[in-house]
Amino acid sequence: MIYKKDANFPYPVLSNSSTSYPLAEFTIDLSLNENVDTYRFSFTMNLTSTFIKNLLSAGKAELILVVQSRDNKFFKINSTDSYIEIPKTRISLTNRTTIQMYIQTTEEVSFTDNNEMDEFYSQFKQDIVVPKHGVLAMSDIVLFEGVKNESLDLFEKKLDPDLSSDIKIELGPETIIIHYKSTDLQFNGLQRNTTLNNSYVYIGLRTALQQFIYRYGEGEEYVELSEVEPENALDTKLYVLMGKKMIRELNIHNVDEVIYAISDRIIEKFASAVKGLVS
Amino acid sequence: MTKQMQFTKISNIEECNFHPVLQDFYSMGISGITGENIQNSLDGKNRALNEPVIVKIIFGTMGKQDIPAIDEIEAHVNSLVGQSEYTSEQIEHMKKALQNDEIKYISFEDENTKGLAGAKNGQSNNSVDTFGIYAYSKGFHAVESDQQYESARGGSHGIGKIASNSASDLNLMFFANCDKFGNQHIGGTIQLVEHRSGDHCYRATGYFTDVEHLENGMTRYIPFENSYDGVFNKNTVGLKIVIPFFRDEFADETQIIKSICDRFALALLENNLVVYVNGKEISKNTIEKFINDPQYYPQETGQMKKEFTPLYVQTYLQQEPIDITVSNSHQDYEFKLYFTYNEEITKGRMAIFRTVGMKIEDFKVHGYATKPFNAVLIGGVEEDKYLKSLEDPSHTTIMNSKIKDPSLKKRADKFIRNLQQKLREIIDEHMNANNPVDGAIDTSDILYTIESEFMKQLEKAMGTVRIKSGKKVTQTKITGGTKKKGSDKQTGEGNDDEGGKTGVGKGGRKGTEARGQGIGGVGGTGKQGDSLKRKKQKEKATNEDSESKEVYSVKSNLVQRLILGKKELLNFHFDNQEAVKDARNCNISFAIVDGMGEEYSFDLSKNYSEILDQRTKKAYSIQRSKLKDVEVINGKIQLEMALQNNYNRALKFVYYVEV
Repeated sequence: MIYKKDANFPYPVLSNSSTSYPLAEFTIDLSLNENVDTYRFSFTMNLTSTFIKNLLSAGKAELILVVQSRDNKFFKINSTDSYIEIPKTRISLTNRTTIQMYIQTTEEVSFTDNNEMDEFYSQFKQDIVVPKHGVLAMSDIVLFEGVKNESLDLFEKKLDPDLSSDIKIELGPETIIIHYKSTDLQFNGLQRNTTLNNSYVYIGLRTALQQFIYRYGEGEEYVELSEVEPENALDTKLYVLMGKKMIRELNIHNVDEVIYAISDRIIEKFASAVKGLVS
Repeated sequence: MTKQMQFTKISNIEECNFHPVLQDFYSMGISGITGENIQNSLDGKNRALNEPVIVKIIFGTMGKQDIPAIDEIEAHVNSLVGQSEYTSEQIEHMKKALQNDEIKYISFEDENTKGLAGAKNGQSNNSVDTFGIYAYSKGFHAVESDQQYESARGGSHGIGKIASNSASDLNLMFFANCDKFGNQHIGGTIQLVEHRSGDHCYRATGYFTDVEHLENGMTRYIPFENSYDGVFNKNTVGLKIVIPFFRDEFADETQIIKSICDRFALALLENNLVVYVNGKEISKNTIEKFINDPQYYPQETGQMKKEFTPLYVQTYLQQEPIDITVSNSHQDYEFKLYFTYNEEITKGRMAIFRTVGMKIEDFKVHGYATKPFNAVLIGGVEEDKYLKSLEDPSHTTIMNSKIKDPSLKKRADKFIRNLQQKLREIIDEHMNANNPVDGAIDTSDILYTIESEFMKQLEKAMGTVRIKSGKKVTQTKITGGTKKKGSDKQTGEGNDDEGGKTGVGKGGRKGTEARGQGIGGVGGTGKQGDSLKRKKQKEKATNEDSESKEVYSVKSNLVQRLILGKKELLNFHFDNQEAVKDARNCNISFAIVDGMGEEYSFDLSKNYSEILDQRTKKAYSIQRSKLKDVEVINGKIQLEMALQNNYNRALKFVYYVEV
């Protein structure tokens, strides 16, 4: 239902290509966050038609987000929400994906009180009735231009033959440092040895997040991320990462779920690297 | 008639099996025989010439009757009796092979070699008379008088020549020789089992040779002079091996070429050897062509798990050799090692080559078989000699546990251990250099944030856009202030390309359908369609009355459309549109459009019962999807249409105007 073309409806529709509403506008701005399972589209909507805004608040109209890749997917949005979360399994984002929002009626709507239309339509406004599920307004179209991955320098490694354990996790001011007693433990020379170190990375993340709870939980077993002011560079990196991955709360019971959400399949990739060595 | 195929008479049959080495070579397939014969040719290099040894391999077909002594061969083979299930099966196979009149053969002919010497002396049992040794002995390795050269030579076990027999359905092979004096002789052998033919029992091996009867009742084999033509002829110095009844399962040209590249890569690269397989040249100039051809070798480093030749060649050509010393605790051996470290490599192997350029082994380093390296090891004369002492009979490994002498065995084990240790050190060194033990850990594949980008698609298109101009189909923007979707590159935000194209592709296709049903000359959204589409448009146009008209798509800002009860009002405002405003009349086409931008034809006559001009009340005739000769007054069209009962009020339209 993305109206890329100038379709002529049998009644006035607010859109950027039509002059039916000479002064009103309907545009959207989008941003995207994601974690391992979910996309979150946050939007700001600029709708200047009072008539249509009133219909929305009265529940006589609703907002729909359309995501078009190969086919169209429709998502209803509560008029008070500023974002919508969509499971990654439901849509595929490519750099051909286009996104549009439109407003449709939830019941038959009379235009008698619509004073924003052009002269031609205004003369008939008592007689204009838009049927249930009729489109009232279409936003401009936003084209998804792809994503850039920004890596975080979260980890360092150090070889320390004098270590009194095989490995040791140290939380530095900027990084999580994994100390190894021997190079064998780093899997050097094995295929995908970096991925084989994911097991240590997991332990390192867990250690850092536990300290995060301890440091910002103020004696409690949980942290509301919105209330955190990170004190050093490492915590800032974790804070930004969790924020971007839409984590709201970190507590001693959800550390593994948080690691799963903020990372891209650490354990799955580790397992596949091990399987690769066996085959 | 004198016999040409000599089987020694014996008093009774003792051994009922085929020679065991036949089976060994058979199981190595075509690679085994190719390797053996080329190795023999390299060993026979004429060192007085500074030319590479040339080996020509040909396989083809020949008449059975052209094979020397075929009648005698048939008689012997047909007299064979199998004493076990296995030999019976082989014998049946031999008899069956004899039933064909047209048979396959393969030949290996070498040049720039010395050929065999001393043919005239026949069976002399003198190591200088290589012809006699080659022709009449098994397990006798003719030792070169030049010690240094002997060390470098490939063969040493003296049984390699039986490899050729194994490639024949009859275990039959011939060899034609031309020595440096131009003497041409021919010999051959057949490997059967001990058998009874007529009144006599015979040994398993038959020799194609003449016999000289000596005074003391003894006999001596003397080769025939070669008077054969064609396949069996050899008139340049060197040896030619002909194997008739060439086994079907061996006749694989790709496999032959691969086995040459695998085994002799360095001999080829060093220009010691040039091989022609059915005319295809394999040499230092062409080896890379085969190695880089996916028909022959896997091309992805990660996929090289059994065949490593492409890696060896790369390693040898690209790396600077390093000197390594390996001791067997009795003597030090000096090798050159070419070494590549590459983490894409999944199986780490080191090719051990003789100085002659023949690979002995894909050497595995214990515990390091899956380390990401590739290496090539070559020694000198002393090293060749030592390696040769370690090899197994088929020259494919130095891990030979069959050395009998306990002290030599101990040294051999020590040598292998030291070689392995040396390599482990080098591999570790490279691994450590490539995997710093300290520093940042790259977690960019698992820990990252994303920055997404969105672009606004400009949708401010207005006015009319010409999509067809008479016979000449063009698209241009015709009104100063109007803009068409897709043309907004001029606005500096040409971000609409992608979406626009998608829309056009789909719209255009449906548009074609629509035209087929009568919307003459309309199609697409007016954006650059492909030329094919335009052609169709043009062809179509010539069949319609719109031939001389220009067609424009009408943007929605020029249209007012409203359904009120049983009627629909439709206004077009062309008063600012240069192309239309002064026209007195025009045609209007209707097309239904869906949410994806696809257009469908629309039949006016089935949906409207009456179409009037709102101002003049003049009625237009309703035909299919186009309204003709619509009056334009002051640049405006104002229509009032009476709806039929079946009219779908939810439909959305796009319009085209023809002027």
